[in-house]
Amino acid sequence: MRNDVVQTLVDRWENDMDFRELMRKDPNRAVQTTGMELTEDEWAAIRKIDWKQTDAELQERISKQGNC
Amino acid sequence: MAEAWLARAPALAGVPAAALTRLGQAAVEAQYAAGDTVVQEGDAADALYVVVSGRAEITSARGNSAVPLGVLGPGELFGEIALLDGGARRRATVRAPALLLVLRIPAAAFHALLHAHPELEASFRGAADRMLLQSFIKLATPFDSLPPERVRWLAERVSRRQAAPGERIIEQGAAGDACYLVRRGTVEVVLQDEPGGEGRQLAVLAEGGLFGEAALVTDMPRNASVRALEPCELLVLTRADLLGAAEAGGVRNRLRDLVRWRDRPLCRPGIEEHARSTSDGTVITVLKDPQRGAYYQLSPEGRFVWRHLDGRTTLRELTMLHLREFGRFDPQVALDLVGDLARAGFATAPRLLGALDDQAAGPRHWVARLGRLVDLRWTFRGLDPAMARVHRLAGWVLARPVLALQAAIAAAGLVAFCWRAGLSGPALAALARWPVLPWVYAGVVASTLLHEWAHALVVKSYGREVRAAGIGLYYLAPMAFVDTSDMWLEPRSRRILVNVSGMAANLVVAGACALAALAVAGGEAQAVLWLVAAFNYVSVLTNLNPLLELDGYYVLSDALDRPNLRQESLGWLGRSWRAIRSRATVRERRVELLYGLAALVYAVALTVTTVVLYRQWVLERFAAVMPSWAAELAGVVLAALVVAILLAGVLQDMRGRART
Repeated sequence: MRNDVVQTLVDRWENDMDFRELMRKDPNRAVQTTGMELTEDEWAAIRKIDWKQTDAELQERISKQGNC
Repeated sequence: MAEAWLARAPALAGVPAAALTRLGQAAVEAQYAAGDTVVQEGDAADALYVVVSGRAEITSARGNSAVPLGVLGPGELFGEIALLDGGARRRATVRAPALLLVLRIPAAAFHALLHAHPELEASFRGAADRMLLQSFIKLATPFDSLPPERVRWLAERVSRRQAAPGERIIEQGAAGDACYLVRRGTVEVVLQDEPGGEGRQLAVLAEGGLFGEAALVTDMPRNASVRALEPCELLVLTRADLLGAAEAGGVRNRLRDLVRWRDRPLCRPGIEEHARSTSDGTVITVLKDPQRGAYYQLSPEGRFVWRHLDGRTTLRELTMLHLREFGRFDPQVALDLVGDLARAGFATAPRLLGALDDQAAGPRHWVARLGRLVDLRWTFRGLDPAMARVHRLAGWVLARPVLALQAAIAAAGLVAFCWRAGLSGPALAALARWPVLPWVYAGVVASTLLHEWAHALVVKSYGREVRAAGIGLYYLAPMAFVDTSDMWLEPRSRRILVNVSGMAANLVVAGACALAALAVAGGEAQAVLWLVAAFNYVSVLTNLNPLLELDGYYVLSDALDRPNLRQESLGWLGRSWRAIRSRATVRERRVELLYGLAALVYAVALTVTTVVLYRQWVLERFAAVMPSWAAELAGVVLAALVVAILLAGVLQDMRGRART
């Protein structure tokens, strides 16, 4: 991704809550509001989602003998 | 009539009567219906307006939305700012929310007034400047959600400061007593990694940028220096100004967000990293805090973020690095993960003052408080050395030949119990005879201890820690437990073996007792052995229940490779139940949907059953010592308490943290 494209997107994301929300729901429309022309690779970087693994605090494993 | 209205306008109070008459003659009444636009941002300025009746809403475009700047009432005027700037474009849009009546004064009449009375220009410019200042503050992050009266309050309090090119406005390491909003010019934020060094540029802020806020809301020294790159005009806000503005919820959230985004987080010392594979072959990292016995799972992307929590890298920089590494632009990844790591105690986070701190100790909501009563524990810690000694002495129990023997006893005992199930009736009847009940009770306690000991033994056989054990109440029923959290570091198959080891011990004890019961010739001994066997079989059945956090739940959770299955499922259900109407969502989230619904239904059924039993118990005992109405009331109160406690546990999970 071109440096100026990234800088613009990060600046908008940092300062504009509406833009941030739109990026979450509809990244295509969010980028269109910036007026920037993106390359195919840059669009792919915006749209790519990875849901395979999550980062999470692991709950305690409390092995119990219960009677519920 | 127009002249009479103009005479009442406070903004025109200094205008001589003769000039007011001329203005009145030039003014034209105009009426706007609800929703009409009076002036449009960007249009050429050709008149100013005085509100006669109704209200005028002022907004300014920001991105795709219109930011409300204020509302004007009768006697107030608008449209003069662009005229004072010599016919500049409109800086805002004015609309009528309902029927609006105004007097429209053409630009020529206004300019004629100023030409004839130049002393009035200062007054108009002063009012315009105040209005522009308020608009500027309103459009600046993080003040865009401030209500109009709060914007006016803040505009009256801020002071101004000029900065020459190269001037240091903020010095790293100094105490902070003010923050700054860039009105004009640009500044750079510089981090000095070493004293006396040049420092590296972290950011450049232009008009509307806020800096210096972190020291005010965390009470920490300045974490970077700021230098003017060109002549700057700055608005200066004190801590009182900033915290006063932060009383508005939207500003508070925005400020908190800004401080966290600009932070340079650091991982806590002493955290261990352990790699292991998941069921699909992905290598994940499990963080372990040996001091607290806490664990955190990181995906490969999460590990990348973790490795860059060095106290020098900002989240902005982390976003860029993440993009280069994974080819994905997602600033939210770093922000969310760092926030969660900080909340879980694995990374540092700026500790915000007072109402800004959303991590203040302990949940205060009544649901959270009651939810804790669902799982009450009395915990004994520091047991691992003792468990290690027991494993050294008794680890032979896990040798293959011994396991085979235990399996044979369990199987034979089960067959025997089913074959002679008719002994159960006489055994239960024998409970009333001395000393059957105390011996049965001793057998139950011994079985429970053996169940927990089995878990601990298998954990130690894998070289993992058993940090704690204890007793308690789970969903108001007595239980004993062992903390096997260290098994998060082991692969799925080993975790499942630990989970089933307790139930396996129950089956062996039950089998041995059933066979022994058949070997003795009736009497109290047979009754005791039979009832202990029965207890162990019932324990296996209840522990297989995956809908509460018993052994069966952990088996299911590990088999699906879904840590936190219950919290994630109920949390998703609580947040997203409306999305169930979508087939795509049902397909994508079938695990959360099925488990969440099943757990919810079970909790309700358990609650109803418990209420009925407890109420009956209370009525029988209380009725013997108090009037029936009092016993009935006690039953109702207890029932309500039981419902509240049991359902609070589920509700707490449904209110759980959002995770996208």
